[in-house]
Amino acid sequence: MPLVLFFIFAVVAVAAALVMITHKNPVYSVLFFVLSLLAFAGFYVLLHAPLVAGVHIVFYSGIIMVVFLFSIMVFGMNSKGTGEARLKNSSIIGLVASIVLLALFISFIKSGVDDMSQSLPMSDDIKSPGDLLFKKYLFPLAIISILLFSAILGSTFLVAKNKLKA
Amino acid sequence: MILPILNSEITFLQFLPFDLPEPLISIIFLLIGASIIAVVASVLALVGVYLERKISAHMQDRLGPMEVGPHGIAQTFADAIKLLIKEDIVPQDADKLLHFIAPVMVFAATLAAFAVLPFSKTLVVSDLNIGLLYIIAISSFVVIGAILAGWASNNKWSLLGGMRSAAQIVSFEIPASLAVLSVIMIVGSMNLGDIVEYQKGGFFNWIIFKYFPFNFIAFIIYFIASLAEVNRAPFDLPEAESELIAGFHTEYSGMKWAMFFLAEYANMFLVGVVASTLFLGGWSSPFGDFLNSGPFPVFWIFIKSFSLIFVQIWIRWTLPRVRVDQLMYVSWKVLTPFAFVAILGVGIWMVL
Repeated sequence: MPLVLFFIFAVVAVAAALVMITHKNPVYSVLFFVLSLLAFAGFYVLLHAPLVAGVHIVFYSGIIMVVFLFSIMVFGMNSKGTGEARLKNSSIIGLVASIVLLALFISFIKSGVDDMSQSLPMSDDIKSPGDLLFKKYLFPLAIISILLFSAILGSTFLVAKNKLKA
Repeated sequence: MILPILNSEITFLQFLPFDLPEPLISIIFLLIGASIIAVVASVLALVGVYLERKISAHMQDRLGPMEVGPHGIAQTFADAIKLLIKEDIVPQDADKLLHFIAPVMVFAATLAAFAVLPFSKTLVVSDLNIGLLYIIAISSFVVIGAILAGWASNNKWSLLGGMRSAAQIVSFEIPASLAVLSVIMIVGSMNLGDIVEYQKGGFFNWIIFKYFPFNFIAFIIYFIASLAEVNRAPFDLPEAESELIAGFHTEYSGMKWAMFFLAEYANMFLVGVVASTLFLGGWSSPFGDFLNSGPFPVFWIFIKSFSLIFVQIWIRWTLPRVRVDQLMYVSWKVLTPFAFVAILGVGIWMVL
């Protein structure tokens, strides 16, 4: 059963990601991104990490995607997208991105796929991730929170600056 | 009583003349559980609509629906049938697919959240160990549904309603989640069943009275934030009829409109059950072991959540609607700091 579910999630994740890239309408792209993220949450559940799955859905589908939809609608991209909004030199960027992705794949395969499941805490409760975060990895967590906090402060400052000008 | 059926070695399927493969059996029982949730949630929503109409009528010195059945009990069912057979109108320039998906998404997300609600020790469809997080996560799809409904209708008022709804729900999710966090800190689990077990043995064990007054503050914050999250007055700006006609469901009619409507009332009940589970002891009796077995847990959870629903209706029909800036002020400058204070207070008290 987990194997079947894994393949269902995998197909959904990849297919939704493909549609997300190729669809002309940005709103549909966001929706397929949400679908892809949901499939990823399914992977986390299969890996016995329900907490990660829940947090993933709350933050990505719940907040970040809402902000994406919000900004798409604020900037008034209408339903009849032309599909002409392209980056300059997009082929070069694409080439670099694919090389990086290929390198990632190769390093991933070389390091061994089996190791992944071993390093995860195999329990369904919320205590073990908490222990890991606040005991073993406290220092990286603190650094990440400082980073995020400074981002919040920076955005608040930018908004306040615009307000002062207007 | 659903959980034992789902988990035990299935009784009635054994009467079949052929063997079903194992995955198929679990899928069948998931479907049965899902349909039970759908029926229960829809009936509860209809009861909520009836209560709202009756209570609001009595508050305004009217009688409310009186014609269909004694005291108009069957009025909402009659309305539901009327909505089912109404013509479904889709605006010409609307995005037809998204116009269809949006109400389904809102309704499905609401129903999905019902799956982890405990109505008694065993009467829970899925005893998830991250139940609380699951509810928060799955209800975020209501926001996406509302935005999509506003956008797909291709109508300015709908779009504005959808945007307001998104801004409001995202802002109020923060104080609501923070208020819930203090409960998680005390119990040490996100399983709703564990949270109820922790509060067993009478009303003085309820989390709302623990670490007084911090959890009391957390309860008030959760209640206010949940009012905003289900778009109830005084925070019903997304559907402010004097400004936006009907907000994001302006262009909806017939059954699609009914789905938004039912989802709203099912959400009211959902919020009531979650609030009473987290802070008011859930299905456990307020008097220790007195009347705490058999069907009584279901009775207690319904009493508690319907009292909270009554307060919601009461607030709606007595308070005026707030402005958008006041709404954001309440969320960011009042509720969020107080929620942080409550968390800090509970945390420090627990360490002491």
